[in-house]
Amino acid sequence: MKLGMVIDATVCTGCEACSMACKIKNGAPAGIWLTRVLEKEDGVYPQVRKQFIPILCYHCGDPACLKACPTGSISKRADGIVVVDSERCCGSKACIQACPYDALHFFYPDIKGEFGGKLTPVEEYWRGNLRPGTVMKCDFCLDRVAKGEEPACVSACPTTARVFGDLTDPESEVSQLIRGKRTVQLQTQLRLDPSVYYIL
Amino acid sequence: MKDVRLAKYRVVKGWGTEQAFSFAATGTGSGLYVASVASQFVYGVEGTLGQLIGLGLIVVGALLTFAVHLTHPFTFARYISNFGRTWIPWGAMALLVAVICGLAALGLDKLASVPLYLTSGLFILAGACALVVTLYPGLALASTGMPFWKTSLVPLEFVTFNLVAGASIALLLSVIDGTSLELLFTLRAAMMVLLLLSMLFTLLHIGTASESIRGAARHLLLRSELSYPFIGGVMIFGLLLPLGLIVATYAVPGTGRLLVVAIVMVLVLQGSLMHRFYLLRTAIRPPLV
Repeated sequence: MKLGMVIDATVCTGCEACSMACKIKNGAPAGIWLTRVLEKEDGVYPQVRKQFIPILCYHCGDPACLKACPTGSISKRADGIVVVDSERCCGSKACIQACPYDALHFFYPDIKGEFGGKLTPVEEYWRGNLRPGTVMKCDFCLDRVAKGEEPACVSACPTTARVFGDLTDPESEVSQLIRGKRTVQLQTQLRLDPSVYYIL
Repeated sequence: MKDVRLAKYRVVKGWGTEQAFSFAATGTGSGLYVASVASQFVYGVEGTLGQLIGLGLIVVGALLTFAVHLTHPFTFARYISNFGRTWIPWGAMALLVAVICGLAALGLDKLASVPLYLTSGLFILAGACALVVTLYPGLALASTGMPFWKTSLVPLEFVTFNLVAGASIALLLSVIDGTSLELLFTLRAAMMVLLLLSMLFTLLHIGTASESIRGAARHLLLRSELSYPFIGGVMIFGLLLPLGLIVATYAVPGTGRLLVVAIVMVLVLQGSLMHRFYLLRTAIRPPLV
Protein backbone atom coordinates (compact mmCIF):
# COMPACT_ATOMS: atom_id res chain seq x y z
CA MET A 1 0.00 0.00 0.00
CA LYS A 2 1.21 3.49 -0.82
CA LEU A 3 -1.13 6.27 0.22
CA GLY A 4 -1.09 9.39 -1.86
CA MET A 5 -3.10 12.28 -3.21
CA VAL A 6 -4.07 13.79 -6.51
CA ILE A 7 -4.74 17.53 -6.47
CA ASP A 8 -6.69 18.99 -9.36
CA ALA A 9 -5.36 22.55 -9.41
CA THR A 10 -7.67 23.38 -12.32
CA VAL A 11 -10.69 23.26 -10.01
CA CYS A 12 -9.07 24.71 -6.86
CA THR A 13 -10.57 28.11 -6.09
CA GLY A 14 -8.03 29.04 -3.42
CA CYS A 15 -10.68 29.21 -0.70
CA GLU A 16 -8.24 27.80 1.90
CA ALA A 17 -10.92 25.54 3.41
CA CYS A 18 -8.27 22.78 3.38
CA SER A 19 -5.80 24.99 5.25
CA MET A 20 -8.37 25.84 7.91
CA ALA A 21 -9.58 22.24 8.26
CA CYS A 22 -5.96 21.12 8.73
CA LYS A 23 -5.31 23.88 11.23
CA ILE A 24 -8.33 22.90 13.29
CA LYS A 25 -7.63 19.18 13.06
CA ASN A 26 -3.93 19.38 13.96
CA GLY A 27 -3.83 22.48 16.15
CA ALA A 28 -0.87 23.95 14.27
CA PRO A 29 0.37 27.04 16.16
CA ALA A 30 0.18 30.57 14.74
CA GLY A 31 2.14 30.99 11.53
CA ILE A 32 2.36 27.25 10.86
CA TRP A 33 0.28 25.86 8.02
CA LEU A 34 0.78 22.16 7.39
CA THR A 35 -1.09 22.66 4.16
CA ARG A 36 -1.59 25.95 2.37
CA VAL A 37 -2.48 27.30 -1.05
CA LEU A 38 0.04 29.04 -3.28
CA GLU A 39 -0.94 31.46 -6.01
CA LYS A 40 0.71 31.53 -9.39
CA GLU A 41 0.16 34.16 -12.03
CA ASP A 42 0.96 33.40 -15.65
CA GLY A 43 0.95 35.39 -18.88
CA VAL A 44 0.94 39.04 -19.88
CA TYR A 45 -2.13 41.28 -19.69
CA PRO A 46 -4.73 40.74 -21.10
CA GLN A 47 -3.80 37.06 -21.58
CA VAL A 48 -3.36 36.24 -17.91
CA ARG A 49 -4.24 33.35 -15.67
CA LYS A 50 -4.20 32.86 -11.92
CA GLN A 51 -3.77 29.39 -10.58
CA PHE A 52 -4.09 28.06 -7.03
CA ILE A 53 -1.77 25.29 -6.00
CA PRO A 54 -2.43 23.59 -2.65
CA ILE A 55 0.79 22.33 -1.08
CA LEU A 56 1.48 19.96 1.79
CA CYS A 57 3.98 17.25 2.72
CA TYR A 58 4.45 15.05 -0.33
CA HIS A 59 5.30 11.89 1.63
CA CYS A 60 8.14 11.16 -0.77
CA GLY A 61 9.15 7.66 -1.71
CA ASP A 62 12.74 8.64 -0.89
CA PRO A 63 12.31 11.40 1.70
CA ALA A 64 15.14 13.91 2.00
CA CYS A 65 13.98 14.85 5.51
CA LEU A 66 14.34 11.28 6.72
CA LYS A 67 17.93 11.12 5.48
CA ALA A 68 18.82 14.45 7.07
CA CYS A 69 17.40 13.78 10.54
CA PRO A 70 20.33 13.16 12.90
CA THR A 71 18.24 11.49 15.62
CA GLY A 72 16.14 9.20 13.44
CA SER A 73 12.90 10.83 14.56
CA ILE A 74 11.50 10.78 11.01
CA SER A 75 10.32 7.47 9.62
CA LYS A 76 8.34 6.14 6.69
CA ARG A 77 5.50 3.76 7.48
CA ALA A 78 4.60 0.72 5.41
CA ASP A 79 1.66 2.65 3.94
CA GLY A 80 4.04 5.36 2.68
CA ILE A 81 3.18 8.04 5.24
CA VAL A 82 6.22 9.93 6.53
CA VAL A 83 5.86 10.72 10.22
CA VAL A 84 7.81 12.67 12.84
CA ASP A 85 8.22 11.28 16.35
CA SER A 86 8.37 14.53 18.28
CA GLU A 87 9.64 12.75 21.40
CA ARG A 88 12.85 11.89 19.51
CA CYS A 89 13.26 15.25 17.74
CA CYS A 90 16.22 17.32 19.01
CA GLY A 91 15.23 20.47 17.10
CA SER A 92 18.30 20.59 14.84
CA LYS A 93 16.12 21.76 11.90
CA ALA A 94 18.27 19.67 9.54
CA CYS A 95 15.09 18.24 7.98
CA ILE A 96 13.77 21.75 7.30
CA GLN A 97 16.95 22.54 5.37
CA ALA A 98 16.74 19.24 3.52
CA CYS A 99 13.11 19.20 2.37
CA PRO A 100 12.90 20.91 -1.04
CA TYR A 101 9.13 21.33 -0.66
CA ASP A 102 9.26 23.34 2.60
CA ALA A 103 6.87 20.81 4.10
CA LEU A 104 8.37 20.79 7.58
CA HIS A 105 7.73 23.55 10.09
CA PHE A 106 9.46 24.36 13.33
CA PHE A 107 7.25 24.88 16.37
CA TYR A 108 9.25 27.60 18.11
CA PRO A 109 8.53 27.45 21.85
CA ASP A 110 7.91 31.21 21.96
CA ILE A 111 5.22 31.29 19.25
CA LYS A 112 2.32 33.41 20.45
CA GLY A 113 -1.38 32.73 19.90
CA GLU A 114 -3.22 33.51 16.66
CA PHE A 115 -4.79 36.54 18.33
CA GLY A 116 -1.78 37.92 20.17
CA GLY A 117 -0.21 36.97 23.48
CA LYS A 118 -3.11 35.18 25.17
CA LEU A 119 -3.92 31.70 23.94
CA THR A 120 -7.49 30.75 23.16
CA PRO A 121 -8.89 27.66 24.97
CA VAL A 122 -8.42 25.64 21.78
CA GLU A 123 -4.79 26.77 21.49
CA GLU A 124 -4.20 25.97 25.15
CA TYR A 125 -5.55 22.48 24.54
CA TRP A 126 -3.20 21.96 21.61
CA ARG A 127 -0.18 23.44 23.41
CA GLY A 128 -0.69 20.70 25.98
CA ASN A 129 -0.71 18.04 23.29
CA LEU A 130 2.07 19.27 21.02
CA ARG A 131 5.76 19.35 21.91
CA PRO A 132 7.26 22.82 21.44
CA GLY A 133 10.77 23.04 19.99
CA THR A 134 10.17 20.21 17.54
CA VAL A 135 9.27 19.84 13.89
CA MET A 136 5.68 19.53 12.66
CA LYS A 137 4.48 18.19 9.34
CA CYS A 138 1.41 16.82 7.59
CA ASP A 139 0.86 13.13 8.39
CA PHE A 140 -2.15 12.70 6.09
CA CYS A 141 -4.27 12.82 9.30
CA LEU A 142 -2.97 9.48 10.52
CA ASP A 143 -5.73 8.92 13.07
CA ARG A 144 -8.48 9.62 10.54
CA VAL A 145 -6.86 7.34 7.97
CA ALA A 146 -6.64 4.57 10.59
CA LYS A 147 -10.41 4.86 11.01
CA GLY A 148 -10.91 4.61 7.27
CA GLU A 149 -11.62 8.32 6.86
CA GLU A 150 -9.99 10.79 4.49
CA PRO A 151 -7.56 13.48 5.68
CA ALA A 152 -9.29 16.63 6.96
CA CYS A 153 -8.16 18.73 3.98
CA VAL A 154 -9.70 16.25 1.52
CA SER A 155 -13.03 16.16 3.36
CA ALA A 156 -13.14 19.95 3.60
CA CYS A 157 -12.48 20.72 -0.06
CA PRO A 158 -15.72 22.12 -1.57
CA THR A 159 -14.63 21.49 -5.16
CA THR A 160 -13.21 17.99 -4.54
CA ALA A 161 -9.89 19.20 -5.85
CA ARG A 162 -8.13 16.79 -3.51
CA VAL A 163 -8.51 13.04 -3.95
CA PHE A 164 -6.87 10.64 -1.49
CA GLY A 165 -6.23 6.93 -1.83
CA ASP A 166 -3.93 4.00 -2.41
CA LEU A 167 -1.57 4.63 -5.31
CA THR A 168 -0.77 0.92 -5.66
CA ASP A 169 -4.42 -0.11 -6.04
CA PRO A 170 -5.25 0.16 -9.77
CA GLU A 171 -8.98 0.49 -8.95
CA SER A 172 -8.56 3.44 -6.58
CA GLU A 173 -9.72 6.88 -7.70
CA VAL A 174 -6.20 8.30 -7.39
CA SER A 175 -4.75 5.58 -9.62
CA GLN A 176 -7.48 6.12 -12.19
CA LEU A 177 -6.87 9.87 -12.17
CA ILE A 178 -3.13 9.36 -12.60
CA ARG A 179 -3.78 6.95 -15.49
CA GLY A 180 -6.53 8.98 -17.11
CA LYS A 181 -5.37 12.57 -16.80
CA ARG A 182 -2.07 14.33 -17.30
CA THR A 183 -0.78 14.43 -13.75
CA VAL A 184 2.61 15.68 -12.67
CA GLN A 185 4.77 15.42 -9.58
CA LEU A 186 6.56 18.61 -8.52
CA GLN A 187 10.32 18.96 -8.92
CA THR A 188 10.86 15.47 -10.35
CA GLN A 189 14.49 16.31 -11.11
CA LEU A 190 15.17 15.79 -7.40
CA ARG A 191 14.14 12.11 -7.73
CA LEU A 192 12.34 12.03 -4.38
CA ASP A 193 9.22 10.36 -5.80
CA PRO A 194 6.55 12.47 -4.07
CA SER A 195 3.21 10.73 -3.40
CA VAL A 196 1.20 13.82 -4.32
CA TYR A 197 0.30 14.35 -7.98
CA TYR A 198 -1.08 17.49 -9.60
CA ILE A 199 -3.40 18.18 -12.47
CA LEU A 200 -2.17 21.62 -13.53
CA MET B 1 -0.23 37.65 3.51
CA LYS B 2 -0.69 38.10 -0.20
CA ASP B 3 3.06 38.04 -0.74
CA VAL B 4 3.48 34.89 1.39
CA ARG B 5 1.08 32.99 -0.83
CA LEU B 6 2.81 33.78 -4.09
CA ALA B 7 4.77 30.93 -5.65
CA LYS B 8 8.28 32.46 -5.76
CA TYR B 9 11.88 31.95 -4.67
CA ARG B 10 11.93 30.73 -1.11
CA VAL B 11 14.50 31.70 1.51
CA VAL B 12 14.78 29.03 4.22
CA LYS B 13 15.78 30.27 7.66
CA GLY B 14 16.22 27.04 9.60
CA TRP B 15 19.91 27.59 10.31
CA GLY B 16 21.17 31.06 11.04
CA THR B 17 23.57 33.16 13.06
CA GLU B 18 24.07 30.75 15.95
CA GLN B 19 24.95 27.94 13.54
CA ALA B 20 27.39 30.27 11.73
CA PHE B 21 29.16 30.99 15.03
CA SER B 22 29.11 27.34 15.99
CA PHE B 23 30.50 26.14 12.65
CA ALA B 24 33.16 28.88 12.73
CA ALA B 25 34.25 28.07 16.31
CA THR B 26 34.42 24.29 15.86
CA GLY B 27 36.04 24.68 12.43
CA THR B 28 38.66 27.19 13.57
CA GLY B 29 39.41 25.14 16.66
CA SER B 30 39.85 22.00 14.58
CA GLY B 31 42.04 23.82 12.08
CA LEU B 32 44.22 25.15 14.90
CA TYR B 33 44.44 21.73 16.50
CA VAL B 34 45.50 20.12 13.22
CA ALA B 35 48.10 22.87 12.63
CA SER B 36 49.47 22.53 16.19
CA VAL B 37 49.70 18.72 16.08
CA ALA B 38 51.37 18.88 12.66
CA SER B 39 53.85 21.51 13.94
CA GLN B 40 54.67 19.29 16.91
CA PHE B 41 55.22 16.19 14.79
CA VAL B 42 57.04 17.78 11.85
CA TYR B 43 59.12 20.50 13.54
CA GLY B 44 59.17 19.26 17.14
CA VAL B 45 57.69 22.58 18.31
CA GLU B 46 55.83 22.60 21.63
CA GLY B 47 52.19 22.83 20.55
CA THR B 48 50.37 22.59 23.88
CA LEU B 49 48.98 26.12 23.89
CA GLY B 50 47.69 25.87 20.31
CA GLN B 51 46.16 22.49 21.00
CA LEU B 52 44.46 23.71 24.16
CA ILE B 53 43.04 26.79 22.42
CA GLY B 54 41.94 24.59 19.50
CA LEU B 55 40.17 22.07 21.70
CA GLY B 56 38.65 24.92 23.72
CA LEU B 57 37.22 26.49 20.56
CA ILE B 58 35.79 23.12 19.48
CA VAL B 59 34.08 22.75 22.86
CA VAL B 60 32.73 26.33 22.73
CA GLY B 61 31.28 25.74 19.24
CA ALA B 62 29.73 22.44 20.27
CA LEU B 63 28.24 23.94 23.42
CA LEU B 64 26.81 26.79 21.38
CA THR B 65 24.92 24.31 19.21
CA PHE B 66 23.98 22.25 22.22
CA ALA B 67 22.71 25.12 24.36
CA VAL B 68 21.42 27.63 21.83
CA HIS B 69 20.47 25.84 18.61
CA LEU B 70 19.02 22.53 19.76
CA THR B 71 15.71 22.92 21.53
CA HIS B 72 15.89 19.40 22.96
CA PRO B 73 19.65 18.94 23.30
CA PHE B 74 19.57 15.75 25.35
CA THR B 75 18.11 13.78 22.44
CA PHE B 76 21.61 14.40 21.06
CA ALA B 77 22.47 10.96 22.48
CA ARG B 78 20.39 9.45 19.69
CA TYR B 79 22.97 10.69 17.18
CA ILE B 80 25.02 7.65 18.11
CA SER B 81 22.28 5.28 16.95
CA ASN B 82 21.75 7.02 13.65
CA PHE B 83 24.95 6.66 11.67
CA GLY B 84 24.75 6.15 7.95
CA ARG B 85 21.89 8.51 7.07
CA THR B 86 23.43 11.94 7.55
CA TRP B 87 26.90 13.37 8.15
CA ILE B 88 25.84 15.11 11.36
CA PRO B 89 26.29 12.06 13.65
CA TRP B 90 29.70 11.42 12.08
CA GLY B 91 30.69 15.01 12.79
CA ALA B 92 29.36 14.89 16.35
CA MET B 93 31.23 11.66 17.03
CA ALA B 94 34.46 12.99 15.46
CA LEU B 95 34.14 16.13 17.59
CA LEU B 96 33.71 14.09 20.75
CA VAL B 97 36.64 11.78 19.95
CA ALA B 98 38.87 14.74 18.98
CA VAL B 99 38.25 16.49 22.30
CA ILE B 100 38.58 13.37 24.48
CA CYS B 101 41.66 11.98 22.70
CA GLY B 102 43.21 15.44 22.36
CA LEU B 103 42.93 16.13 26.09
CA ALA B 104 44.06 12.60 26.96
CA ALA B 105 47.09 12.93 24.68
CA LEU B 106 48.04 16.28 26.25
CA GLY B 107 47.70 14.82 29.74
CA LEU B 108 49.61 11.61 29.00
CA ASP B 109 52.33 13.54 27.16
CA LYS B 110 53.33 15.12 30.46
CA LEU B 111 53.80 11.74 32.13
CA ALA B 112 57.25 10.24 31.55
CA SER B 113 56.09 6.64 32.16
CA VAL B 114 53.61 6.57 29.25
CA PRO B 115 55.00 4.96 26.08
CA LEU B 116 55.51 7.33 23.15
CA TYR B 117 53.47 5.24 20.70
CA LEU B 118 50.37 5.64 22.89
CA THR B 119 50.52 9.44 23.07
CA SER B 120 51.50 9.67 19.39
CA GLY B 121 48.57 7.43 18.48
CA LEU B 122 46.17 9.58 20.49
CA PHE B 123 47.52 12.78 18.91
CA ILE B 124 47.12 11.31 15.41
CA LEU B 125 43.60 10.03 16.16
CA ALA B 126 42.56 13.40 17.61
CA GLY B 127 44.11 15.20 14.63
CA ALA B 128 42.30 12.95 12.15
CA CYS B 129 39.00 13.51 13.96
CA ALA B 130 39.65 17.27 13.99
CA LEU B 131 40.07 17.09 10.21
CA VAL B 132 36.65 15.40 9.99
CA VAL B 133 35.23 18.25 12.10
CA THR B 134 36.55 20.79 9.57
CA LEU B 135 34.80 18.84 6.81
CA TYR B 136 31.47 17.53 8.14
CA PRO B 137 29.36 20.75 8.17
CA GLY B 138 30.17 21.17 4.48
CA LEU B 139 29.16 17.59 3.76
CA ALA B 140 25.97 18.00 5.79
CA LEU B 141 25.05 21.18 3.90
CA ALA B 142 25.93 19.69 0.52
CA SER B 143 23.65 16.70 1.13
CA THR B 144 20.56 18.83 1.84
CA GLY B 145 18.01 19.75 -0.80
CA MET B 146 19.31 23.31 -1.03
CA PRO B 147 20.33 23.86 -4.66
CA PHE B 148 23.01 26.46 -3.89
CA TRP B 149 24.69 24.14 -1.39
CA LYS B 150 24.35 20.95 -3.38
CA THR B 151 27.92 20.91 -4.69
CA SER B 152 31.17 19.25 -3.63
CA LEU B 153 32.69 22.74 -3.48
CA VAL B 154 30.90 23.46 -0.19
CA PRO B 155 32.85 20.82 1.82
CA LEU B 156 36.07 22.02 0.15
CA GLU B 157 35.25 25.62 1.12
CA PHE B 158 34.65 24.53 4.70
CA VAL B 159 37.96 22.67 4.90
CA THR B 160 40.05 25.47 3.43
CA PHE B 161 38.36 28.26 5.42
CA ASN B 162 38.65 26.23 8.65
CA LEU B 163 42.27 25.31 8.09
CA VAL B 164 43.29 28.85 7.15
CA ALA B 165 41.48 30.24 10.21
CA GLY B 166 43.28 27.73 12.45
CA ALA B 167 46.60 28.37 10.72
CA SER B 168 46.21 32.14 11.29
CA ILE B 169 46.12 31.59 15.06
CA ALA B 170 48.97 29.06 14.82
CA LEU B 171 51.00 31.63 12.87
CA LEU B 172 50.50 34.27 15.57
CA LEU B 173 51.50 31.76 18.27
CA SER B 174 54.56 30.79 16.26
CA VAL B 175 55.64 34.45 15.82
CA ILE B 176 55.20 35.04 19.57
CA ASP B 177 57.14 31.84 20.33
CA GLY B 178 59.78 32.60 17.71
CA THR B 179 61.70 29.32 18.16
CA SER B 180 61.28 27.82 14.70
CA LEU B 181 61.85 29.83 11.55
CA GLU B 182 61.04 26.77 9.42
CA LEU B 183 57.60 26.52 11.02
CA LEU B 184 56.99 30.22 10.44
CA PHE B 185 57.95 29.81 6.79
CA THR B 186 55.74 26.74 6.36
CA LEU B 187 52.72 28.31 8.07
CA ARG B 188 52.94 31.43 5.91
CA ALA B 189 53.23 29.34 2.74
CA ALA B 190 50.34 27.11 3.85
CA MET B 191 48.19 30.15 4.62
CA MET B 192 48.85 31.68 1.21
CA VAL B 193 47.89 28.43 -0.53
CA LEU B 194 44.78 28.00 1.64
CA LEU B 195 43.68 31.61 1.12
CA LEU B 196 44.03 31.20 -2.64
CA LEU B 197 42.13 27.90 -2.56
CA SER B 198 39.36 29.42 -0.42
CA MET B 199 39.03 32.23 -2.93
CA LEU B 200 39.03 29.82 -5.86
CA PHE B 201 36.43 27.48 -4.35
CA THR B 202 34.14 30.38 -3.36
CA LEU B 203 34.28 31.93 -6.83
CA LEU B 204 33.77 28.56 -8.51
CA HIS B 205 30.81 27.89 -6.21
CA ILE B 206 29.06 31.09 -7.26
CA GLY B 207 30.03 30.68 -10.89
CA THR B 208 28.86 27.10 -11.24
CA ALA B 209 25.55 27.31 -9.31
CA SER B 210 22.71 25.66 -11.24
CA GLU B 211 20.91 27.81 -13.80
CA SER B 212 17.66 28.07 -11.81
CA ILE B 213 19.30 29.25 -8.63
CA ARG B 214 22.25 31.26 -9.93
CA GLY B 215 20.30 34.44 -10.49
CA ALA B 216 18.71 34.39 -7.06
CA ALA B 217 21.99 33.50 -5.34
CA ARG B 218 23.87 36.22 -7.18
CA HIS B 219 21.17 38.71 -6.29
CA LEU B 220 21.40 37.73 -2.63
CA LEU B 221 25.20 37.88 -2.53
CA LEU B 222 25.86 40.86 -4.75
CA ARG B 223 22.80 43.11 -4.63
CA SER B 224 21.11 42.59 -1.29
CA GLU B 225 21.97 43.29 2.34
CA LEU B 226 24.36 40.31 2.11
CA SER B 227 26.65 42.04 -0.37
CA TYR B 228 28.62 43.88 2.36
CA PRO B 229 29.43 40.81 4.47
CA PHE B 230 30.15 38.79 1.36
CA ILE B 231 32.17 41.10 -0.90
CA GLY B 232 33.69 43.16 1.89
CA GLY B 233 33.87 40.75 4.80
CA VAL B 234 34.76 37.55 2.99
CA MET B 235 36.35 38.32 -0.36
CA ILE B 236 38.28 41.56 0.35
CA PHE B 237 38.94 41.74 4.11
CA GLY B 238 38.79 38.00 4.73
CA LEU B 239 40.87 36.68 1.83
CA LEU B 240 42.55 39.29 -0.40
CA LEU B 241 43.88 41.67 2.27
CA PRO B 242 45.26 38.89 4.52
CA LEU B 243 47.00 37.42 1.47
CA GLY B 244 48.70 40.76 0.78
CA LEU B 245 49.60 41.23 4.44
CA ILE B 246 51.19 37.78 4.67
CA VAL B 247 53.37 38.64 1.72
CA ALA B 248 54.24 41.87 3.55
CA THR B 249 55.40 39.94 6.64
CA TYR B 250 58.46 38.81 4.68
CA ALA B 251 59.61 42.43 4.61
CA VAL B 252 58.54 43.45 8.12
CA PRO B 253 60.78 42.33 11.01
CA GLY B 254 60.29 42.13 14.82
CA THR B 255 57.33 43.82 16.52
CA GLY B 256 55.95 45.06 13.22
CA ARG B 257 55.68 41.46 12.02
CA LEU B 258 53.81 40.48 15.17
CA LEU B 259 51.33 43.31 14.61
CA VAL B 260 50.82 42.39 10.94
CA VAL B 261 50.29 38.73 11.81
CA ALA B 262 47.79 39.71 14.53
CA ILE B 263 45.87 41.82 11.99
CA VAL B 264 45.96 38.92 9.52
CA MET B 265 44.51 36.63 12.19
CA VAL B 266 41.66 39.02 13.02
CA LEU B 267 40.84 39.51 9.32
CA VAL B 268 40.94 35.80 8.51
CA LEU B 269 38.80 34.88 11.52
CA GLN B 270 36.13 37.43 10.65
CA GLY B 271 36.25 36.32 7.00
CA SER B 272 35.81 32.71 8.03
CA LEU B 273 32.81 33.61 10.22
CA MET B 274 31.27 35.76 7.48
CA HIS B 275 31.70 32.90 5.03
CA ARG B 276 29.52 30.62 7.19
CA PHE B 277 27.09 33.46 7.72
CA TYR B 278 26.62 34.26 4.03
CA LEU B 279 26.49 30.60 3.07
CA LEU B 280 23.72 29.83 5.57
CA ARG B 281 21.80 32.91 4.45
CA THR B 282 21.84 31.71 0.83
CA ALA B 283 19.46 28.88 1.66
CA ILE B 284 17.25 29.62 -1.33
CA ARG B 285 15.06 27.40 -3.42
CA PRO B 286 13.40 28.00 -6.76
CA PRO B 287 9.58 28.32 -6.86
CA LEU B 288 7.74 25.03 -6.39
CA VAL B 289 5.73 25.58 -9.55
